[in-house]
Formats: sequence, C-alpha cells, structure tokens
Amino acid sequence: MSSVTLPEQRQDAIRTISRREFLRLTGVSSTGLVMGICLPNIAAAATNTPVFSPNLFIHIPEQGPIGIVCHRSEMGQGIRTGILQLIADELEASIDDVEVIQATGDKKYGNQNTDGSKSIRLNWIRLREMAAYTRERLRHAAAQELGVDVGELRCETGYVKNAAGDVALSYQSLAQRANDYTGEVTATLKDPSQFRYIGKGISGVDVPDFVSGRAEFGMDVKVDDMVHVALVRAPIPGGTIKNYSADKALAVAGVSQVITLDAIPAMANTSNSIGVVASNTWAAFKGCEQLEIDWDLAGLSRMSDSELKQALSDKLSQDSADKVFRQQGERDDDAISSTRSMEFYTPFLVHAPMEPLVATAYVDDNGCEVWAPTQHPQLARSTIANYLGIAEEQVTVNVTFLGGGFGRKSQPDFILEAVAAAKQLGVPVKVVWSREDEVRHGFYHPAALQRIDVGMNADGKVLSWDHRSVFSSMQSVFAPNPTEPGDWEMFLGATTLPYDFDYINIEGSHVETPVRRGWLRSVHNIFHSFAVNTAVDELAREADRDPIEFSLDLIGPGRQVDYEDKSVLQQAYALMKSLMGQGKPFDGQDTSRLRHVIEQVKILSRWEQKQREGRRLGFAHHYSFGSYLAFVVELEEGAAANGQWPAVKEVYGVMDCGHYVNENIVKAQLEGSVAFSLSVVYYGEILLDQGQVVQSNFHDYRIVRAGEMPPVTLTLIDNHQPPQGVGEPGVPAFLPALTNALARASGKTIRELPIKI
Amino acid sequence: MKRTINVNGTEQQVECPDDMPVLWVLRDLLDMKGTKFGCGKGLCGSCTIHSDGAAIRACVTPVAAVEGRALTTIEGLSENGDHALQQAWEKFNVPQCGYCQPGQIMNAAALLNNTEKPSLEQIQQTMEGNLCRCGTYLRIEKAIYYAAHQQELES
Repeated sequence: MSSVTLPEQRQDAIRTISRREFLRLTGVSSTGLVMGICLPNIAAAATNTPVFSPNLFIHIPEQGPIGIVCHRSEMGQGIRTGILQLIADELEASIDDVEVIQATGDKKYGNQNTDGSKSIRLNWIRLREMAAYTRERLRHAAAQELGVDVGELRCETGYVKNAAGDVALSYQSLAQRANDYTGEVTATLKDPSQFRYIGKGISGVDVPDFVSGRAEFGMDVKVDDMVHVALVRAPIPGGTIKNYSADKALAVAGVSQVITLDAIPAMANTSNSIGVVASNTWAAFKGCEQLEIDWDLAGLSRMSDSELKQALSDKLSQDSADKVFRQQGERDDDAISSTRSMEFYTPFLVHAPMEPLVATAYVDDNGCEVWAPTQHPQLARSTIANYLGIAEEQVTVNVTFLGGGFGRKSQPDFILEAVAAAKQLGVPVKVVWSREDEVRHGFYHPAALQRIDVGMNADGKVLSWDHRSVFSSMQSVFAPNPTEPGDWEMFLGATTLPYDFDYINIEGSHVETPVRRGWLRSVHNIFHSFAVNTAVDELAREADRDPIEFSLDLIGPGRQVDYEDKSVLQQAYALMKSLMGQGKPFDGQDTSRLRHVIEQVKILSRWEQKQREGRRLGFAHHYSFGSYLAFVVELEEGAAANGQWPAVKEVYGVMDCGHYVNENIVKAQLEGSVAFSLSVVYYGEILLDQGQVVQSNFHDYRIVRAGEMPPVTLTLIDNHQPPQGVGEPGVPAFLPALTNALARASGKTIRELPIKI
Repeated sequence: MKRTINVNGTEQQVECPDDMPVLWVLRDLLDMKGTKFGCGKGLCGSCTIHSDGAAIRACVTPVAAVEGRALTTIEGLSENGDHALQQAWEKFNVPQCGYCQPGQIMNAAALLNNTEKPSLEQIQQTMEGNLCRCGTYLRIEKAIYYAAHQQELES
C-alpha cells in the first residue's frame, strides 16, 4: 500500500479522544504537559487511521467508523447532529457507522463563527458537495475493483452495491483504492426526494454522553499540573487597581499565589483584574472573597439606571437621529388626518448560560494551547496570537462542548484572561468564572428606547411609519466609542419592516454606557420586533380589527421586500449576503412566505373559533435570520395565583425556515425560544448603580422554571427552499405574541419590559 | 483534614476542610465531572446528587455533612447509562446543550426513589428547582412521566 498524504491539521475530538488517549497518541508521558503538541493529523483524532480523506471533513479508515468533522461549535443547537446528517446522507453512509470529530479553530475550515443562526445556511451546499464527490470516488473505485461499468453500481448505507444487490463493498474496504483513484469524477447532489437522513427527526448524536455525565464541557477540562484561578475584575470596565492586599487571600488553604492581569483591548476586551491561584476552584473563589482591593474608577462613567433612561430619552428627542437607515416613499402630510406616537423601553440583558465562562490555557516558548467552550475558535486563535505576538499556527484552540452560549461565548475575553494568566504562571491555568462574575462582567444586550410614529388617513389606513431606535451600540466590540449604530444592528428587525406603507423612515442613534455590549440570542430583533409588533397590535385594537387580518392588510400582497433601492439598507443587505458566504442563499424577505405562516398559525391555533369564544389571545409574526414565523398565544382564564398577569395556557407556532435538516431539533429550538422569551418578558433586567451591575445570580436575575413553561404546538412548513436560521428567529416572533396577549387580556398597554409578574 | 466519603458505593479518601462543598470535592479532588457547577448558591440545581437516596445540592452542602452517607452521582446512577430516566431522556431527545441534564436526571431519580408513579403535578413540583436556560422543561416532564409510567403507557 502506498502511503497517503493526510491533511495537515490538529484536531481534538469532543468525544472520541480521552486525555489519556491523547497522551498515548502523541507519545507524551502522563507526567509531561499536554501542550503545543499538535496532533499530527486526523489519524490521532479518529478512532482508526483514515486512508481516504478527500477533503477536510470526511475521513474513511480501512476499518471502523467514518470520521465526520464538525467545525461549528455545539451549544445545544444540535449542529454536530445536523452536519452528520448532511454529510452521511449525501455520502450514502450509514448514520450508525460514523463518528463526529470536533475541529479546532483554523481558517482552513471556512467560517467557524457559530453565531447568527448560520451553520446550516453556510454549509448546506458546501458539505454536501464534498460528500457527493467522495461518494462518487468510492463508486468509481468499486467499479475499478469489480471491473464493471460505474453506471451499474449504486451507493447505499455505506456500501457500493451492484444492481442485483448481491455484491456489496463497504466504503472502508474501498478506502485505499478510492484514495489512489486518479480518474475524473463528477458528482451531482441528491434530489431531496431521495434524502435518507435530512429532514428526519434523528435523535441528537451526543445525547447518550449528556445523560451519562460523560460529555466534556469547558468546565470539565483537566490538564496535568494545572492550577485553578479565579479573578476579581474591575467593577467598571476601564477601572484600575489603586492598591490591594492579598494577605487574607493567601491565608486561605489551597491558595498559592495572587497575580494581577492587565486589561487587553479589542477584540479581547478584558478588564484589569486580580487573580487568586489555587489548587482547586473553591479555594480560588474563597481567596477572591478575601482580597482587599481599592479600585481607581476616576473618570469613568458612573451611570445609574435613571441616568441611562435620561440619556436614551435625550437622544430620542433630538431633532435628528445619528443616521437614517431606510427611507422610502413620500410623506403626504395633507392626507394624514391622525397620528399615534408610541415609546418602548427594554432594559439590558445578560446571557446566563448554565455553564459559566471558563477556559484552560498553557503557554510556553513553542506557542499556546487552549481548551474552551468557544463559539468562535478562529477569533480566539487570532486574538491569542496577536496578544502573544506569535503566529496563529503556534496557537491551538480546542473546542469543548458549550454549556449554553447564547452569544456570550462568541467573545474571546474569557479565553484571553486564561492565556494571560498562563503566560505569567508558566503552568497550565484554568480560569473559572463564578455565576456572579458571569452576571456582572457580561457583554450585555443593550437597553433600548424606541419611538414609533404612525400617520393615518381619515379611514384609518396607515400611510406613514417613522421608527427611531436608540440604544448602546454593539459596535464597541470591534472598536471603542462608536458614534452611531451599525447598519447590521438596524437590519435585525427594524429596517426589515415587511409592511407596505407609502412612507417609511427608519433611523437609529447610539448612547454610550459604562458596560460592554455584545450579541445575545436573536440580538436587536428582540426589542425591534417587540416595538413593531406591539405598535401594530395597538393600532388593530384601536381600530377594533382582528389583529391577524389587520397585519395581513398591512403586509399587502406577497412581494419581495425591496432592500436594494436605498444605499444604507443596501449596504446592510450586502453585508448579510456576504456573511452567508459566496453565492449562498440569502434571498431577502418574501412576504408571500410570511403571509403563509400567518395563515397557517391561524389554522393551527383555531384562531377564529377561539376569537368567537372570547378566549384571551395574542398574535405576532417576525422575519429574521432568513426565517418566517408566526405565533399565537392563548392565556389562562382568570388572574394568575401569583400575580396580576394570567399564565400562558398554550402556544402555537408556525415556522418556514426553508428545508429543515432535523425536525426534532428545530422544534426543540422553538420550544427553547419560548422559554428564553418568557424569561425576557417576566424577569429579564440588568440594572446599573453607579456604573456597576446590580444583579448577581439566579435569585435576582431570574429565568423561568419548569412550572412556567406552557405547552407548545408547532408546525414546520415543508418546502425545498434553501435552509435558513433556526436557533434565533423564534424569540422575536413569540415574545410580542405573548405581550400582545397579556396587553389585550388586561386592557393595558405593554410598552416596557420586563412586565414583572 | 483527611476524611472518607462514600461515592457510588466506593469509599474515597480525600483531604479537605470541613466546609468545602461536596461539589468541589467531587469535581476537583475526585475528578468526577458529571456533577455540574451552575450557581454556587443552591439556586439552579445543576449540582444535584443523592445523599442516602435523597436529592441534595452539592454546591451548598459541606463535605462534613455527608460523612457516613451514601452519595450517588450521575456517574453512579446506572452502570451503563441505561437507567429508565436516561433511556427516556434519549427517547424524547431532551438535552440541548446538556449541561444541566445530569442535575435534572438526579433530581428526577430521587423523586422516583420515593414515589414510584408520580403524577404530572408531582413531577412539575419536584422539578421547579432545576433551571434549564435552553428551555427543555417540556421534554423533561414527558421523559420523567414516561420513565415512571412506561408499562401502563405501552400496555
């Protein structure tokens, strides 16, 4: 057998490689450090040495399961299962004879930034093309082996078979020949009617490891000779250490050392901090409690919540906004006979994934290796390389399971802190965040104040729509002190307005605040959709119109929402298109698909019958991340036992996300979106006092509990449109359906969150 | 100080202060990582284990309080990960991120230790203390009910 050239790559597997195995494979003694040693090739990560690796993602050994590489981070959205489905289906492999190997952070994989609900969108065609090509090479290899025409053979569940089915060669047995095959191969993607796994509700590939406690999260990483570090960070970003005493901390049993870490600027965006080094996590936490620190916060904003609201309000009432993001049509003032003006306030939010932040790092002269629950391993890698002044090739970022991410684990700050500490200490370092650290040192979903002004004619027809959104821009992630919101921020639920008004003017303004901002699941869609859907529902109530009929009227006949006619919006649209990758589907908003999910939710919820019966209902719809959703919420009769708001009795949702890959997982994401939204509506609120975050843990930053979760009935639209986002679009569609139901049931208006039950 | 604790039927020697929470004894001293850290204040239930068959929050239980008790963690719930609850969890594809699930399962298992056939209300009440940010609550309830009532449901 000739030797094969395997792709040069370092790979660790989330579940196929134990630390001990790692040491064995890399020939490092168990007392040595696991570092810098990079797995020479895929062979070390896969159970068996592959001999046929036609691309970075598919690795076929002569014996044992076929290795499929997942380059996106698993945080509960089921992407490891989804990618396995895409590849196994198109490869015609058996789903029982493959294993998923987790990629490290490396640009060669293409986009690994696991946010924006885009993992399937980016890879739907690309990975299937690689799988189809691999499949065809195996088929040609089999034809060569059997001395028959390739047209006589077909691929099925991991075998190349002849027409009669009495000859079947396994892919593994063909691996060497397929690797050596040099003939021309062309491949065609399967017709969707032939899909074996795509579209089916296959159970999550990692579920057995989750339920047995075997799955390794970032919090579970252990490296030989590792020390545990907990940090006390500046209470306001920018704060510096005036002086401190470590005496009491050093007296805690298990604490060995106290260090200081300097703030690292964007993209790391870390704060100055003092670290307690200990032999276990608990000693490190206790040591932090014993530190006596005098912080210098001079010159920093000491904004409290009242000042925040004032600043937003001042900006909202200025004559003009920072920037106009979409303007079309002409305002016909003569035709407008009445106007409505509505203001909406939504507070800062924090992510609160069940796994607090954590990262493990080791740095020596050869480079750096980290193990972290990161959504964005490439950004972590480049930021580390930049910080250490070394080449990216000297940095290995191993991706563990994420115990929830929700956008927080896109930021590399928590990884850079571990790297900085490891550099200083010269041993592997695990930096563990307490829940209090996570809540108080977040990248917060920004508080927003919005105003929607509507002009109507004498018949009540809406002619003009002015929407101004004022918030603390997340552009600060990229560079400090932004001057205006980014186009992409407004594109998330504001400029995407689907209504067919004669005049539309959508503008945004930025207000600086003393906290770091960053994306949280669904991002600006949350507050934009809340404002838009609430405004429209209030107009329907006032006009005594059925809200669904009213919305359909405003949307008008099915059409492509015209994003391309105004320069600013066009830039945002082009950006979104480019984020979706070369030539990948991002078709813009088709309101006939929006209308369809609305009609469907009407049927699913028995809307008309329930309206006649006087049930307490609420409705909303929203388009985001390429997907169309409509929700109906039905409330319990009577007041809730524990407060003034009635509980949710039933939720009905319809989603058109194009061709879905896993029905079960898509529905799970929508159930999760309902829970996430309930937490935002009932409790979600981060408050500031003198520039510092007030909340600290789940007692004062509450999330919904089991008993608050209503039944959820869902329908997914079956079509063969390109797949769109799944993890995020549910929240902004469901959330206002809930608040609209509550507002109607109570006869009040809900223009501020949380409602505080 | 040196002490002995019984975890999953095995006597384990550890050296730690009286007030060190069982969570960190398990995770950092015994390298048993199935029991998760979520809040450190007994608020989220991710660290739920059994002490003599009853659910406790390992993050707020000092090690001195469990000496002489039989502790069970997710690693010891079943030999092959095939407890009726673990099987039901797979059947209903319960986990999303998976982080809180060992605690959810251990809390549910303690309920089944005491109440063979819990009602849906009993299940909901028992599970109130276990948070899941992904929002898998509906599936958790289904899975527990199914695990407890499987025979009737399938007969």
